Amino acid sequence: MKKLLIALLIIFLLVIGVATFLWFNPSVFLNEKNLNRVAKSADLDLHWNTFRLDFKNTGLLSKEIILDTEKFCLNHPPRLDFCFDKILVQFHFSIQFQKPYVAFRDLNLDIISKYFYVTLPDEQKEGAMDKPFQWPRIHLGSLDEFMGRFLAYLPEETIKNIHVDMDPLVVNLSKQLQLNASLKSDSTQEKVQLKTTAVLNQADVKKFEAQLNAVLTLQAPIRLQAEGAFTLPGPNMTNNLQIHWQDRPEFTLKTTVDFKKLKIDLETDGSLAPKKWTLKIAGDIRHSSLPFERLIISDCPIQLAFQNDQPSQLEWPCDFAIANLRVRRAKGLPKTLEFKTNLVSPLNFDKQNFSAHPVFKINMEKSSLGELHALTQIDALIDLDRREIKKLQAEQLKAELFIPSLTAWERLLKDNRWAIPAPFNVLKGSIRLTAASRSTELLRKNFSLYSSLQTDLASETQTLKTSTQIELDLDLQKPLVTLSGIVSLDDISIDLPYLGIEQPPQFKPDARFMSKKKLQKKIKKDEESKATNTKFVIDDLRIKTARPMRFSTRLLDAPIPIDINYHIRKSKFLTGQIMVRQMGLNLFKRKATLQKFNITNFKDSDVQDLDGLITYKTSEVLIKILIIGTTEKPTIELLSVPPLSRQQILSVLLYNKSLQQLADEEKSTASQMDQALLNNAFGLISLFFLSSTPIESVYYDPTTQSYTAQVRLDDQTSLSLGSDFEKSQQFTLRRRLGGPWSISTELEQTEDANDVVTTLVEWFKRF
Amino acid sequence: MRSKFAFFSLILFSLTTFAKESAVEHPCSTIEIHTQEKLKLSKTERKWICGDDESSSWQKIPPWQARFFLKTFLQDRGYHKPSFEVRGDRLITKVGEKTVLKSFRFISPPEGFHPEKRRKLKGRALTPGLLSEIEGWTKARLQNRGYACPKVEVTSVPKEGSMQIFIESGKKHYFPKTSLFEVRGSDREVYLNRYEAFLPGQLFDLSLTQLTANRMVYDEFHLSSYFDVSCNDQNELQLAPRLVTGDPQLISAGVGFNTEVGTLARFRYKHTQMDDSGSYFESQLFLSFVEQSFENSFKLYDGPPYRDRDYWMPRLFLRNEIEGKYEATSASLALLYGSTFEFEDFRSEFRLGPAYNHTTIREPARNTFVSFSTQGEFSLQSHDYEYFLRDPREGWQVSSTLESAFEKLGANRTFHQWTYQHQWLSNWNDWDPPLMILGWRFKVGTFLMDDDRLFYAVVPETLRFYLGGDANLRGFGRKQIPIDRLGSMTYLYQGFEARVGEVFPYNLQPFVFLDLAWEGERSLKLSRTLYYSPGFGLRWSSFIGPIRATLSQGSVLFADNLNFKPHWQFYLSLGREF
Repeated sequence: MKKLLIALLIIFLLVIGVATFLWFNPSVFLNEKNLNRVAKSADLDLHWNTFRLDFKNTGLLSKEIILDTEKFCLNHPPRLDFCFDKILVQFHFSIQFQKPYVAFRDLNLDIISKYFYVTLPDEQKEGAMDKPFQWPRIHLGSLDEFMGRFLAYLPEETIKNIHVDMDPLVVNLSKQLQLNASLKSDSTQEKVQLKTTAVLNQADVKKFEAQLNAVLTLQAPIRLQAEGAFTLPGPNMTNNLQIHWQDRPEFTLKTTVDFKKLKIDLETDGSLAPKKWTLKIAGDIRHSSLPFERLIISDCPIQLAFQNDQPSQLEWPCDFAIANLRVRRAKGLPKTLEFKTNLVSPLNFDKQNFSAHPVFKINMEKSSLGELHALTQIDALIDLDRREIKKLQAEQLKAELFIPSLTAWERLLKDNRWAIPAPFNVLKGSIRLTAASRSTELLRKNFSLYSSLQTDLASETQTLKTSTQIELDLDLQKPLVTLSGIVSLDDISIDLPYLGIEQPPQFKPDARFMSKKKLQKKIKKDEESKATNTKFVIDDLRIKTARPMRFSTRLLDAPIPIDINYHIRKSKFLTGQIMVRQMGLNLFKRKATLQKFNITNFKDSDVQDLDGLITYKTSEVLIKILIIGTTEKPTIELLSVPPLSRQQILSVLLYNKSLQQLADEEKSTASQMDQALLNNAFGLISLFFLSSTPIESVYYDPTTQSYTAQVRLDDQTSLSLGSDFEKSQQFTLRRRLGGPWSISTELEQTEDANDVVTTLVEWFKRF
Repeated sequence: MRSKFAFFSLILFSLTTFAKESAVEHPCSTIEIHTQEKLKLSKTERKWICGDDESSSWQKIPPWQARFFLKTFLQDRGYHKPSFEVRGDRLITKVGEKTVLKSFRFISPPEGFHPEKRRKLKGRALTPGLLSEIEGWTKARLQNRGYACPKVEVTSVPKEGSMQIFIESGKKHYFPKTSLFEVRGSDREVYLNRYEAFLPGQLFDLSLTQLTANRMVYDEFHLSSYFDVSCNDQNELQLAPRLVTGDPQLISAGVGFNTEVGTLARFRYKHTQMDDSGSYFESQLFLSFVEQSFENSFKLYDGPPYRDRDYWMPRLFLRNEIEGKYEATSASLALLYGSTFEFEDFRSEFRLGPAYNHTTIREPARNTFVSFSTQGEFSLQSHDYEYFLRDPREGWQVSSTLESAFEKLGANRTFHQWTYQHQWLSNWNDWDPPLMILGWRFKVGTFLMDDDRLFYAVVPETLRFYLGGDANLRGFGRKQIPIDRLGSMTYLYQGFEARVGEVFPYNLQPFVFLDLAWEGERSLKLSRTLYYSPGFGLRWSSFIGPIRATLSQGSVLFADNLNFKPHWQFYLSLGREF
């Protein structure tokens, strides 16, 4: 044991002795000869004209080092190829027992290089576990203090002379990416200047260009001032940077972009104090295709607070404005819309986790166009090692859009594709839309949104007051949107468009005309006969009226009152009713009353049932016209009190007469009309329009199932043709004289005789 | 000279260029429409795109909405490529070319459908109306071929000018095996045997239900009838008639004038529902200074309503004539038995019965003719012929009559008058609508008696055969043939006609024809003289019925000393068909 200790002691003393010897005589191993040997053994093409490396001991723990070499060149393809005309590095250093543990002074640097090429190795992707991320602890105070951490002496004492001239400095970042730079630095007693330029090329195309001039003042107060610019030729972006560091780092970055129709002018002022970083952003963005002239960012300071040299709080209020809306005749409209946003979030770095709780608000300032308020609060947790989001929870979501006057929007949009259509474009009033959401884990991609819409609109003759509450469930993974809710039509009164006596025009394009692509989809769908991928499902939606809706048309004296009570479930079970309430109308030019007209959907039924009743009353008879069947096959039945035959009922309706007053051909006309009713050749609309047309009788051809209005020369005169299709034909012109009397002229052609023309005055009676 | 020529050429060029340029229409100050054809917008359409000054809600129409409506209206007219531009306050529309149908395709047509027979589609403007028309045509064509409940869907790709018709024909259906139907809208059950144009269990054909309904209306028993055709959830055919009957009795009285007899009076009585079986009676009294007549006829059925097809038809006819050349009184009493039979493609009817005829001639010489005769009629008519009666295009009809008078039963001599006629129409190549309709008419008649020489002495003039007129030889005057005597004993007529179908606008159908006839004064013998009249004509299917005009020149071959001068003959007729 003793011998061991002694041996150890001797070894220790030997090591100390050698170390001391080497400390005081470093030139024993750090010399030109040894450098040559190392170069040869490593097979490096390293050569120089002169090489001097001297060490002077200026104290026990201090030295002066001088490295002086000329034409020092190394060629080691493919990575390194450089040549320095001169390298002179001379400095004094000493070891101390406080920070900084190594103190430098009297630095004399003179480096001149004519070329310097380096090719970086390919980046090696590191696994997440290989390099755990951690926010660096940075404490940026005054430059004095910052440099004091690294320099034991004052900068004017530390630096004696600096002269660096390296041009070109080429770094091959990858096969196509090359950085061409230059570095020049000179010093005086008072300051050190640095000039650097860099150009990044990709396949001989300039991608990036930068230059920086910096001046470090060596005498107190120490300050750093730098000015630089960097441009990206592609998007025509220019950035001017100014840095000033004395009490704290401050910078100003001015960015301009002029790329095709996009113009950006931004100014960022940064101040990086030890406990707070502030970035103020201001500027504007212009694009000719936007519906406004520019987006102005006026007051946008990002504030990052620090605790223990790590970010602890983010605060980002930002005001921006949409200026000069591109609208013609913008009278009464605001020129600018102003928005205020605010993002506040505590930040926490806890070992490998980063958490934040941002609260974001956006408010549109009160204007004639409306107010917008939105608020969202999120809880986020990020794994810094794995670089993945572990938690992203929306704690709260609220948004409200209030449009105080629809008129303002109508004027804003009137000349573009978003214009409010007639008849709604004359409505005045407000619309309120709100949306909210419960706490939702966003990573699950499943959200619920509650929304309500209230309209309070009216014009001289119309009203649109509704309230809607809906719930939307969004499942982004499927994807599937499910809707539930209730739509309450509180008070609706709409003016229908002009309708003339002719057949109304088509209201919308016929869906049977389609593009070739759509047709192919349809054919494919029919062939495959598979159920379509449902992306939107109505789970449970009720639509109801609080009071009957009223639709006004010039064809009726009173508006048509309609009630709705619909319930849609699972997108396919549609049950409910559309009910037309009692109203007066003109039928066959007579005043009648629509007692009811209901269209009912029953569960498990694809068609809608009809239940309509029109009554027509004279002093002698009450006639009921029943409209029954389905919307696909409506049927009209006729009843009366006292009971008349169907034929008599039609005669009363068409001619307001009792049967005894009718001439024969009018009876025939009525029967043809009846046939058409039976055959459903009359749509319900045709029935309505017929009552408005001047043509009073119809001829129905059961062979071709089409109807044609038979020409009446006037109210009492008709043309008709009779034929037995064998031997004779009669062409008759008949005019009613009133009551049971008529006059007729008949042309009769028969095979066996000459044509005969007969004129008769006749009296008819049917019984 | 050259400068003048150049000047006029320039003018002409400018005019033609101007003519080719589109017209500009301004339905209102905010809409400008460039179109090559005049675009007539209705008042409603104008108001929808321009705004309605009479309605505060529809006064201002946003440009995109006007554009939306205008696009719809243009589509309705076959314009599918409009372009729109907003210039200031105005919406400028270039209507573009009208899209016409270039091709169409039927997808999954069943066997026997023959879609290639559809014509008059290509070249027509591609409008929603055209799509609906072809949808209706396809559905009707399927229903006429046994597919009672087909599904038809029509689409179109305007860019290609194409149309696609998707057919789901479903299964074939058959008519019910019973003729007892429940009348929809009542609790009655009725037999429809009397009118049915189809046989129980026959392959369904919608046209036959329409034919059945027509027969019921033509019979005057029902004022309207229709068959409701549908398929239930089990895809079984449901056929339900809907019937409307009217007041059965009609009485009328009239006074007037006609070109033949002068002042006249007419009285009528009709009872169309004498009993539950549907028997009817009609009586007409006609009074004038020249002629007075009293006609009465019955049609008596038996059995439950509309079941039986057999009927009795008693008739009484009295007439008194005071003509310039003669005065006569005649009476006729007949009792016919008739029946109809229905076959799958045609209908047959026959009638047979005795008749008593008494004619007394007062002037120029008193004479009395009394005879008992039998009247027999037999006819066959195809369903096609009957269905297209109002617009003949297809089918055939055959009929024959035999009227006999017996010497021992009042007639001066026994003689038999036999006639036969048939008519055949063919839609050439079965185009729909027809391209050309070919027709052939054949009529023959003769008298049979033991001594031909007594024909002119025995058989009254009214019974003899005459030719000429718009019913047979159209190049000759009415009853002009025979030229040299009063009536023929035998005749034979043939007529051929080729009529253009639906080709020209306004329903105008030109046709050419050739009428040929022979006659003779002996039984079963024809003289060699051929009367013929080639000609042409025009048929117009007006809303009140067909109007025909013909122009033909009558000629004679092998005239044999006949004194006849060929001349052009014009006829205008209403309601008459080939």
